[in-house]
Amino acid sequence: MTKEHAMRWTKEGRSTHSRKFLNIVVHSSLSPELLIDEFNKLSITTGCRRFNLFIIGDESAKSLESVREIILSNHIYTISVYVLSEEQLKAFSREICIGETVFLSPMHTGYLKEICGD
Amino acid sequence: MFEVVLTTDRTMMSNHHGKEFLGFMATGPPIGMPEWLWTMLAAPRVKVDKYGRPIEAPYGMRKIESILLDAGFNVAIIDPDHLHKHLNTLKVLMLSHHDYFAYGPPSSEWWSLTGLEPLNRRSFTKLMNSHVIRKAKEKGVKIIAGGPAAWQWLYELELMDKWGVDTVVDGEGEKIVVDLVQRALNNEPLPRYVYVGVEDSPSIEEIPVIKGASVNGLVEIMRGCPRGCRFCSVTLRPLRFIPLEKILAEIEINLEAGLKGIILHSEDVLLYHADGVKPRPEPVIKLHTEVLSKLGNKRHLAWSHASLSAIKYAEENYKLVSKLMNEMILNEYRTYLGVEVGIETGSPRLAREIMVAKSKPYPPEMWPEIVEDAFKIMHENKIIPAATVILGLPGETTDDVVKTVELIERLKPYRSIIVPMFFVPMGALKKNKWFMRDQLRHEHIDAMIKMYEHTVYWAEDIIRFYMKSPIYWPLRVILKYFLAYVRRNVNKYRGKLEEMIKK
Repeated sequence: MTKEHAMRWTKEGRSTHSRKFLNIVVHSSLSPELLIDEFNKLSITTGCRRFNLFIIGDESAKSLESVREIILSNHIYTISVYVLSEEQLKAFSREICIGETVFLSPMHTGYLKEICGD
Repeated sequence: MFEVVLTTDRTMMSNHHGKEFLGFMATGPPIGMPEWLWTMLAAPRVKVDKYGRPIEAPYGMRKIESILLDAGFNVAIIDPDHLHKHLNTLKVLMLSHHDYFAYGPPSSEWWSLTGLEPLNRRSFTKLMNSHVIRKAKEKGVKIIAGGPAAWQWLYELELMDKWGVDTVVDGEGEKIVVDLVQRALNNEPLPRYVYVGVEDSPSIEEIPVIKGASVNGLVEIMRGCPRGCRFCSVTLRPLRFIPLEKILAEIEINLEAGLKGIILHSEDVLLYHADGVKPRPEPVIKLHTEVLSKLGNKRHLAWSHASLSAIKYAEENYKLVSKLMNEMILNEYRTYLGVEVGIETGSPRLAREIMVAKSKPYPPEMWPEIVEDAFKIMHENKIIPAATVILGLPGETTDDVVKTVELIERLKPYRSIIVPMFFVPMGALKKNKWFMRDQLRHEHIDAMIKMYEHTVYWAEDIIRFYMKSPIYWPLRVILKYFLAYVRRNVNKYRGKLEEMIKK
């Protein structure tokens, strides 16, 4: 992960959710290569096997093609891919605030405050 | 009237006249006859009740239906011709398929060879464009697609959008489907794609007993496979043995629905409660004793798959195959047993590369001998195998194909069908590319012709076994006509392929 990535670990998240799902929030404009690369790094560094991948933006087809590459690379992960708008992401505030969440697109780090508050 | 409906197109929602192998015709394009006749032959309509619920439905859909019923949903499997009856109440439409877009084996091969779109793809496209499904989408019905071919949607993202498929589930669905359907009913955001990894595979306790009959009485006795062949997706799933009481309960459900026989489904029937890859006679005999006592004398029995190495090992060490066949299965009414087996290659080198454990407990160097011995054992015990050979495996050399041709020649004395399949990127080899006709070499054509000659040589004899009853005589006539058509045209087609290679 690069320094720009914001990661939120809450006490509650560690105790109840950290072993369940890792949320990854990414903008659909992120290049497929970078998404695949970051996903692979995250799976190794966290040891996590279950992911919610939230793709924000309208280039969903491109993002899903990246997902295809991720799935082709392995068969051990459970991955739920959501393609949605910034507004719709708020429906997942519980998962994002309580669990472990990684924002792969730096521009979205502000969401954390917006979605989860201080 | 149902809120949650599971359905699929006609090529899947059919019992194929009670003859599973006829269903494979749906993987090809109509050849030598009109599409309606080809469809009638491969996938006739099934019997339904007044709501359009089929008496027999695909097994995987029965599993999902069972879980949703247990969770209290108002759910049913509905025949595609009867979906309109539920349009007013429908909120979630669930689809399943073995080969939505004909990208799997052997559909992709027939498509590549003939240049014609296979029936299964045509039929599914027709279903998705049908008035009733378009109307359902207009009403805001959520569509969830799953089944063994779910992976194909990632290659058809535009169709996913065009047809309004909200979610695709790739993998074993038992543990996630209830939550997913609940979310759809609550109008909550749905994931576009869910890939279910091995750690989320259901345990034995979490796999439910079906609540309605399955197509041709298929009943799962194992899930997953220990052999780890690199071209296969089943080996990505953990191995689980279904307890005998669950198997018998599912047989009971099928027999109550009036089915005339059952198919024991496993990637390797003889490995039921095996010691690794070595068959153990006791559990296999117990399984067959219990199953046959439920079936009685007149109902038929088939195995979905068996491995050639297990057949050889079981017979040579325990005389298990001859005991099962001659002392238990065969009688006046059950005169043969059908099973699918995988040869895949005649090359020990390639066998070591891509399916090192398929020959176990024997070494891969013995693979051609294992195949030949197992075919002999099956022939002598009236087991009729439908075997597959994969052409175009990654790393395949000309010498590998030549060895495959030589092996097929040696199998000539044994009653069987041998079908060539073009490599499809699945399992651990899924990052590779499809094998297509522009990659064919002369040796591939020789191999295909050898398999064709072998299959045609035995086909008429097998049809006599397979379609003995007078009710199948009209089908026999059509199949014989088809065989004659193929015989007339095969040389012409060979010439075309040879020309293509020259170019």
